[in-house]
Amino acid sequence: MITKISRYAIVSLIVISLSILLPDLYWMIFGKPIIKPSIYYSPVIEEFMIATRTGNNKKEYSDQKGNSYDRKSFETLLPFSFYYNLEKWGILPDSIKGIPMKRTYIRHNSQYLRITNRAMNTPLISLNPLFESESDFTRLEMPGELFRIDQKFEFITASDNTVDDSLSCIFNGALLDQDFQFPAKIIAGNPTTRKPFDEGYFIVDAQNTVFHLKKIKGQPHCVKTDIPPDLNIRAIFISEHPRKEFYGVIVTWTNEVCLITYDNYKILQLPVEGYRADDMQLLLSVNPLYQMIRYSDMKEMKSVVIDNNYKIVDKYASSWTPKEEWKSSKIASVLFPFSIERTTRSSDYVQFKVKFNGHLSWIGILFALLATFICKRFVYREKLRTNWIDFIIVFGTGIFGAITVLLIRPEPWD
Amino acid sequence: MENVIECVNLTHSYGNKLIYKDLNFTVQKGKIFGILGKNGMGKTTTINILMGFLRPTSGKCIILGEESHNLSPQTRARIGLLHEGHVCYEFMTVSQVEKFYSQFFPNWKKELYYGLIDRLNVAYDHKIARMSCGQRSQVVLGLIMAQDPELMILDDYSMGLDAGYRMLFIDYLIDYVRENNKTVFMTSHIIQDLEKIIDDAIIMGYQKILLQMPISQFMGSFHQYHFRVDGQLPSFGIDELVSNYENIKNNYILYSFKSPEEVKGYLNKKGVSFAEFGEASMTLEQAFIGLTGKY
Amino acid sequence: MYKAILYKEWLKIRWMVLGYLIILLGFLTYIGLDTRYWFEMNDPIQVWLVVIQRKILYYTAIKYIPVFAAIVLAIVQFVPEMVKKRYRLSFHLPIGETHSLLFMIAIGVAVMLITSAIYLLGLTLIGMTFFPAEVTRSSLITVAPWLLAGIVTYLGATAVTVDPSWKYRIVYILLFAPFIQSLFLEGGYGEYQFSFGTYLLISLIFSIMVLFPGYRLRKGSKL
Repeated sequence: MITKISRYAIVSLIVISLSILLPDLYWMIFGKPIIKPSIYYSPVIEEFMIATRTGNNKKEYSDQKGNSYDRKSFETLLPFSFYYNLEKWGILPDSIKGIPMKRTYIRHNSQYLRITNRAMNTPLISLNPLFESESDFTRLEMPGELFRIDQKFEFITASDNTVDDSLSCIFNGALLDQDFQFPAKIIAGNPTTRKPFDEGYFIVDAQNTVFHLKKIKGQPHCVKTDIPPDLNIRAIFISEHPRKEFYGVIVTWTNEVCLITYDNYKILQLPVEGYRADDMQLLLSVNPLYQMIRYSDMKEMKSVVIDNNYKIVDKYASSWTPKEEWKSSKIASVLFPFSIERTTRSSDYVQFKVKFNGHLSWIGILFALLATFICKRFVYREKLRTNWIDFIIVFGTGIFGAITVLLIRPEPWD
Repeated sequence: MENVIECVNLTHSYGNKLIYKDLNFTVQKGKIFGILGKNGMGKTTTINILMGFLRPTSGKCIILGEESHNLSPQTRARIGLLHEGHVCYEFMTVSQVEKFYSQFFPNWKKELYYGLIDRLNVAYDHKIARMSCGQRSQVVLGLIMAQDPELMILDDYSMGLDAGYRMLFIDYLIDYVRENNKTVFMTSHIIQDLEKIIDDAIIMGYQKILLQMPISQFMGSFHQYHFRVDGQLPSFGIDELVSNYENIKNNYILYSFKSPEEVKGYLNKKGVSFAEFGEASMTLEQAFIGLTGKY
Repeated sequence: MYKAILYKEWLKIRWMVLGYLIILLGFLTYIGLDTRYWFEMNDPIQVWLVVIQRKILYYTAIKYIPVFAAIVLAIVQFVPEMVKKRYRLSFHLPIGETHSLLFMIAIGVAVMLITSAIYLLGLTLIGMTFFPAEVTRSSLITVAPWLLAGIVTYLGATAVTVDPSWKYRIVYILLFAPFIQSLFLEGGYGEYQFSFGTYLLISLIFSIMVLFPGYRLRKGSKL
């Protein structure tokens, strides 16, 4: 009996391996990249502009209405994105809608903030350096310690790997003064010296209250913000930018995206209808006239343009043939009833996810059953009655099971 | 008498190649049973089935009341196996291997093992891998004897042994078996050794058993006749009377279970003019070759 | 009887186990010294941040060691049983073949577990010396799939060694590999923390896997 089970153990493992291997090999041969278009918004003609990469690394340029452009005229209509080219060609206008078209001005008032699903699904050790925010020197300097916020606030000194008690005590006290509830759920900041200035960290405490912590002249500066605790924050992305309009972006578990403004931490919800944090990438790009939000998954991209008062100016949705509707996907569905996904583009976490391929799989399963029956009955001449579980396996796993039970044959059991 | 081994309609084939069909034989308690056959006649296959390492295609083999390929641990303890080539845990030393086996058998007879080892003049910490074939055969025999099994199955014990060790092995074995009333099933390619020891034998031919009878009966009833033929040289079919024959020019040797008179009558009936008819005595080996042929 | 089997297995694997222990301790020493050197040559805080943010790990040198050791262990333990059909000796012992086979496997798994414990202990010591507890903890989580891969490879390699047919052996080698490779998809640290349980459960299937090849061997399978 147990030897019989042992065979099924081997069979299940080989089925698992095949459901990893065969679809991988299949897509290695028939896979092709999904090319997302680049969407822009022209302040000149007030329309969305689309650049699409075609084969051979060529690009096609058009506007929302379908008019084609060559590259030069396309970029001319997008002065905030291609001002350096326009300047080179000597056609950069003096101003557009009252905005002075100066290289430094545009650069200073342009901001990009990217939120990837991967960044939200990555293991990260929550130890961060707290920079001196108001240093006497221009450049940010790396401190000698990292901080953690578990049951208390602690600085760990790198040179001797011990907790700096006196410094920790000061910061711990500052948090407690603001009624901070340990431990911290989220600690969000930019732990790099390669930024123009430092805004410290936004910290969500055990009660979902958001605190803003900075080190100013060596002393803690902790603000308990009015950001509503019931916002259900999933992640915070901080982006220090000289425009000083917002500290960063909050993504909630309900797929809302909000800016944390410099206006006393007031929250501004961005119009991102249909955004799904787990599947989508979001890019917020700000230029002197507009803010544009683009968010996309593997089958569509949505673009929203808002003005500086956060009013929606225009919206545009583009989509392309999703992979599921490719002919090769249909064939794969017939061939493989499921596949096992271990890594995805949307997460750094390794998974073991069984992805079923839908109704088309039944065709493949039927063929697999037939092939198994013919092979076992007429070629191998096995006793079908004592090994009926083999057919259950093929019924459940199609080609994977069929290959396996025909390779790993049942013995004449005692 | 009690049957220790009982094989019924034993049939085996490898793929489409039939080795033999419907083999039937029994081994009685207290007998030394030999299986003789030329290479490729299924000796090893039979031994493998008996030892439980091969499931017969059909038919069955009952050993001590259980099917050979499904022996219970208790029954296995009552059977001692000597594998072809004196297979042994060669990575162990003389004393380690004894220590290992002793824990499996309640009636372990340590003194029998060391009695044999002491004759070899090897240190107890000598690794078996560094022993000669002959020495190893004694270690293996010692282990089987110490196990004190009811049935011993010995697969080609003589392989790789020189005459001295073969003799030593046989002497010890006979002594032990007779004294303790053990049953032995054995094969050997050195038939002359078997002559002294086996009580009963089967001789295997192509896909069947040629013969099963006590060895003394075989030796008493199987004859080698020789005669000279004058005139045309006859050829004989293998039949009831002629088990085998060979001739070099007009000198004939004919093997038969029949009496000289019957053979002479047969020759006369066939119109063979023969002379100098006589009978020669044979060793078991000669009789075996006579029965099975040289090729 | 089990004591006797333990004794036999020990005689077969003792030099290998000793060698593996030396190599293992050697690697742990190397990791310790290499990490120390890293800290000597750089600003300690930068080393920490490289580990935490850029996910460059100081212990990847041991990534494949358990897998290699597992293959060698299975070979050292089971090839002596296979040459000259010595498995027949084991199968004839008055002990159920399922029990004796599983016990032999258990001994090998125990070796893998003990050495895995030494890995974890060594990494804990190194981690605690140079890094905050969070990094140490994540290092233990990160190496867990590698150590599991060692155990799974051992179980797979025993099945490969024990099976009497080369055709089956090749099938096993080719088709156990993708699962084992699944335990090496780590690009940073802690990436298996949600799926490790699933992989562990599937790995449990491997534990009784050797019985089928064992049965084929025992019965002289012709397939």
